[in-house]
Amino acid sequence: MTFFLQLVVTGLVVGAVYAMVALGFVLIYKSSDVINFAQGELLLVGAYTCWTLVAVYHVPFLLAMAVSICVSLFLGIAIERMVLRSFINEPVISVIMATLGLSSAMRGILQVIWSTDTKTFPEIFPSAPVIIGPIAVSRVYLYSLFISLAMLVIFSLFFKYSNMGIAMRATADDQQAALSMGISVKVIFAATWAIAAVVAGIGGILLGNINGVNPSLSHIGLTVLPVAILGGLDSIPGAILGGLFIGVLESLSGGYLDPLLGGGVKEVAPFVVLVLILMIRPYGLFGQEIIERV
Amino acid sequence: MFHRLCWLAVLTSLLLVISLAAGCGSSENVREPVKLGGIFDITGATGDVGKPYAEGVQAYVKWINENGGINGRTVQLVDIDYAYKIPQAVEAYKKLVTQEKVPAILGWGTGDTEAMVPFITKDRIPYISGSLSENLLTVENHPYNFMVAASYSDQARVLLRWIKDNAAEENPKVALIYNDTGFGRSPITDAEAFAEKIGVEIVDKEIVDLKALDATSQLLNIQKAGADYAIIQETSNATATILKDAKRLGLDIQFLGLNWTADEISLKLAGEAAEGYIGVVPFAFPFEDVPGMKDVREGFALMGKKPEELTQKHIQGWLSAMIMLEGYKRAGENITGENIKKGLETLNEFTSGDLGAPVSFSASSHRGSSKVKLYQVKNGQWQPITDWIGYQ
Repeated sequence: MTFFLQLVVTGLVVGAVYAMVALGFVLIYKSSDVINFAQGELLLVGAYTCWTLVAVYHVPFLLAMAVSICVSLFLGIAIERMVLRSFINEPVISVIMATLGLSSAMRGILQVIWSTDTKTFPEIFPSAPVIIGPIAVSRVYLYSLFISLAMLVIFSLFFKYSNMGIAMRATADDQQAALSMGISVKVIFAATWAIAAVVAGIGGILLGNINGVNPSLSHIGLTVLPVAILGGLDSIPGAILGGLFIGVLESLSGGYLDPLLGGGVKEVAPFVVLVLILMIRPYGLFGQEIIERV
Repeated sequence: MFHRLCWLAVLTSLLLVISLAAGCGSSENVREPVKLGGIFDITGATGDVGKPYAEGVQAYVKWINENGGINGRTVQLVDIDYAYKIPQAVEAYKKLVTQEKVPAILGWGTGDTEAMVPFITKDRIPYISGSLSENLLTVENHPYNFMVAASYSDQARVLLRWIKDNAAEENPKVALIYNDTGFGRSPITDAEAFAEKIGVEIVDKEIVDLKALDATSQLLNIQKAGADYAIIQETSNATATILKDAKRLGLDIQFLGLNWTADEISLKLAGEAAEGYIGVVPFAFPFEDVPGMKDVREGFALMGKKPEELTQKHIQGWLSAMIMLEGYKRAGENITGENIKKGLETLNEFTSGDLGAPVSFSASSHRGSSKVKLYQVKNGQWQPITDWIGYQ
């Protein structure tokens, strides 16, 4: 029983990290129908900025985190102004291609500034685990669980009730109609990217504290894309629950199937389940069901 | 328009004059430099360790040029960043061999080194790689590959032998943790065969991905299997994940790891959890005062690098370049791939001032050494617990 519980709890907290990262994809998709391939690089910007402040300038961690969030915020706005503005009313696929280009360009710039070696954070989260009954959980994961749940609440409310959130959804649904209703698509895009950059930045900082920061961190950005797809690309609860679901699935299949099948099932199982679920619900677990009949 | 053309003409003629003048200056009585090729990963997936390796090579070449070069000729390093992508490595190889006409190459990854084998054999290009995969050691099939340190299989054998000799139990129980790549799988079969031979029981094998954020399920299974020791074949990041998770779960298992798990990065990432961890160290750490380190510090000073900025991967690059260029030296006046190979094959207990184990090559074996040192993390520092040891 302890074995099972430990696996489930570990799966949940690791899934929370996936959820945080997947949230960035969902936010941008939800408000602009675009899949952002530069999500991984946005992670890196947050992680590197925070690392520089903490490790090089010895800024207290919370302050460093706040500054990094501001940097991400302005980066998001800058990306909109420099890259995306010319794509307003252009096909979505063009924007997606632009994010691919953005990803390469950003990776290059980041490597010039921070090089490719692994940067390690000084110990910020105490390494002693939190013991709940028979189960041990590391603190940094526990914090990410709290943060991702908090974000779930904040963003669900934001999209449901705030004017900005509603305007974002309207823009995603039909840009031209939104423009003609007097919604400033420029502002919406800027806000979207700013928020997504901030979410990615926070994710990057947490990941950096788990495993150090180097350019390969950005790959995690892409590996969680299945999480977002599983949950439904336009659903915030979907991203969070999708993340937790994949985390638990990985952990359980690692614990129970790996010994039977000789290892490596942990990495594959989520994808098998993903395919099965998408066969039954092609729009993801919580995605918006759009069916056009002809 | 006319003005622009004028300017263009003036600029071009200036450039021509300058290049002519430069050409005249350098051709006077200076012997042609010898070339050395490099295919490195500086910006790719393994750039974190590939870059210091490349810098080690660059530093050695700089240092040897400051100290008289090779048989009086300067060495020109032509290196290309292949970003850990095999097609780009092959492209870099073609460029180095056909355009630059380098007689020998220093390479990097397991996959790309193996992809290069048919080319280097055909073109007769001696090749030293960062990869220590046992596969590269069959001389009949890999006549131009040379290995400067113990292969992954030999490293695993040394660890198993050490466990056998130091365990309280008659048949110690060992688990193997590796990643599902060519690099990760490389020593597994050899390790299992050797374990059986010497009476060590392999009770479990677990796969942990190189980028894994968590290894709880694998570690719990190792615990269930009753292992007292676990041997890790990963890179620094996954190693730190494993050590941290093991500490969190309170496992009573002695962890040991191969060379890519035992460096400054895994130590920093794992923090307290690394205490007591034992690693295979085929190349000296820069903080050690071994005889060869004086030259290393001089060489990196030429690159503007301070001793405290160096890592063990810098030493690996330095040592690889040193051994390859020793082959050049022994090739004599006519530096061709074949002669370098013959030169390298005369190396007998070649010592690098203790930067690595003494290296010997012969026509029938390109296994430079099967010896390594074991280090243990004590008070947050890597400290040697053995001298150069083998598994015999």
